[in-house]
Amino acid sequence: MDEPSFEAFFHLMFPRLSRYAQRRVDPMAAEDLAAAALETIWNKDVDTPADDVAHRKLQSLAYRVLEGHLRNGVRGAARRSRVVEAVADEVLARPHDPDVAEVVTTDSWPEWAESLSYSDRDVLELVVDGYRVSEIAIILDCSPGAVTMRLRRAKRNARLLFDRRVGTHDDS
Amino acid sequence: MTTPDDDEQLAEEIRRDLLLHGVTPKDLEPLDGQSRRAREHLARIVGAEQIPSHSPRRTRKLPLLLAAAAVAALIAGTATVVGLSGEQNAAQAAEVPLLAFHSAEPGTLPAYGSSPDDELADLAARARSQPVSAGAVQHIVVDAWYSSSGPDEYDGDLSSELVPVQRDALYSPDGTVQAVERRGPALDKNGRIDTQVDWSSQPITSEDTFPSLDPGPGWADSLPTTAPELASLVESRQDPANCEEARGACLVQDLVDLNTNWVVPPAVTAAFWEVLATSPDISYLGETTDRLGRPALAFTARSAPGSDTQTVILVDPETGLYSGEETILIRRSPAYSFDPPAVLSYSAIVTSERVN
Repeated sequence: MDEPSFEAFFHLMFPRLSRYAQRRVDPMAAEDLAAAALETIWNKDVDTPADDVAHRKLQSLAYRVLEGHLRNGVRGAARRSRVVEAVADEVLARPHDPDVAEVVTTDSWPEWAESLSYSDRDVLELVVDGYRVSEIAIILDCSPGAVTMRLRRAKRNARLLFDRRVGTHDDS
Repeated sequence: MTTPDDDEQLAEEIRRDLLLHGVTPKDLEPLDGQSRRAREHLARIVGAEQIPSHSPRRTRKLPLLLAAAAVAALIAGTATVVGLSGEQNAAQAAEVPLLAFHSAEPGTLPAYGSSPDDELADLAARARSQPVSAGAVQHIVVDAWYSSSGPDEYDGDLSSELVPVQRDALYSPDGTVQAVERRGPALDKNGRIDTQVDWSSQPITSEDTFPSLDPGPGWADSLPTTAPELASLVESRQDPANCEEARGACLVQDLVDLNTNWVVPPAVTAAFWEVLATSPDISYLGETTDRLGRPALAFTARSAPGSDTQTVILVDPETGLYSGEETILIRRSPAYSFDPPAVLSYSAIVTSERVN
């Protein structure tokens, strides 16, 4: 990608990627990760998008690269944390979830949603955080229709969990 | 058929509903001065020397592009090995030959072989006759390569390479996994592992205790042993956005993930073969010899549209049990320096048993 095109892409995506990363890390770290993701794109020397479809794909790639940076950062922090815990012999004593990079996304969820799958939480959380379906489609690199399908399924699963844990049967 | 307005309305309804039920949105307001910091980041990025990209294209491989779930289990090891630049010459292969399959021309991947129905039915019958392993702890040893990228020691360019490792994992009933990963020896010219190697003398690249794998140590044992029930359960856990156009590829990935991380009861394996037989995008590639020199039958699934990789699974023809997989780069990708078709990752089940 030539430099002017990259600069335009950077200015478009930096705030978006920062906002996305801020869902899991503090705002300054989010900006650093957004810059790192865009630097990766720059170093990949991708073609300048020729049309809207290619531009959308490049935006999706930027989110995927950012997600990789986020997960690596979270896993790294967790590994360091586990070393400390191991000294205190706590590792075996407490329950763990499969991927700490996923666990951190659940902090803002109430108890009834604890066993909601990561896939469901992921798409629902984006909605709660104010993302539109069209934006989620770019983030997840799929069509808006696929997002809607995932949302419907996640909504159904969330409703089942809520009814089971809280005992209400509100069908509204 | 829904319109974009319908989609956004649904999202808004869900958002309202979740907020009413205790889910809280995050504060995503940017900090003051973000525009200034953005300009500083941009100046640094475009002002630095761009990592060269020329033919053959050399680019950094991203961890998120690790396609095989088996390899995903080794992500922690990836970071470790990549960090050991300068010590890698003997243990790595830049590129290795593809396996040869009876029903596919050499080097012709992506290949779509013949109907797999007869072979899968035979393998299912063989698997069902295998003894069930007993013991509380699941012991799984996997020989693997995975692709890794980093700056070249001499010219600073980025290159992809295959790193051989062996991962020896004990999965306890309390949900902890103790795993030791060792760097493997050099592969021979045919891309095969020296089966005489003493792995205990190989350097340890990581040794760690991990939390329980989702959904816990009893997952494989809890799976149904009939094809319809197994298919229903497995597919209910898949992401429809990714799997609706690639059912076979998703099933194959689930199979690899399952066998790489759990000791799978033979009856579940048998049911899995029967599930694969119902998927029209699975094909039989024929007989082959795996990287450990063992006979195997090879199957593959048609890749998802736009995917640049294809996974081949290998099955022991005698026992009908899963024995490994290879992920093949089938078209040029900006994530790798390899020319397709090329092996990106490989895993072979050396041991899958229950012990006390």
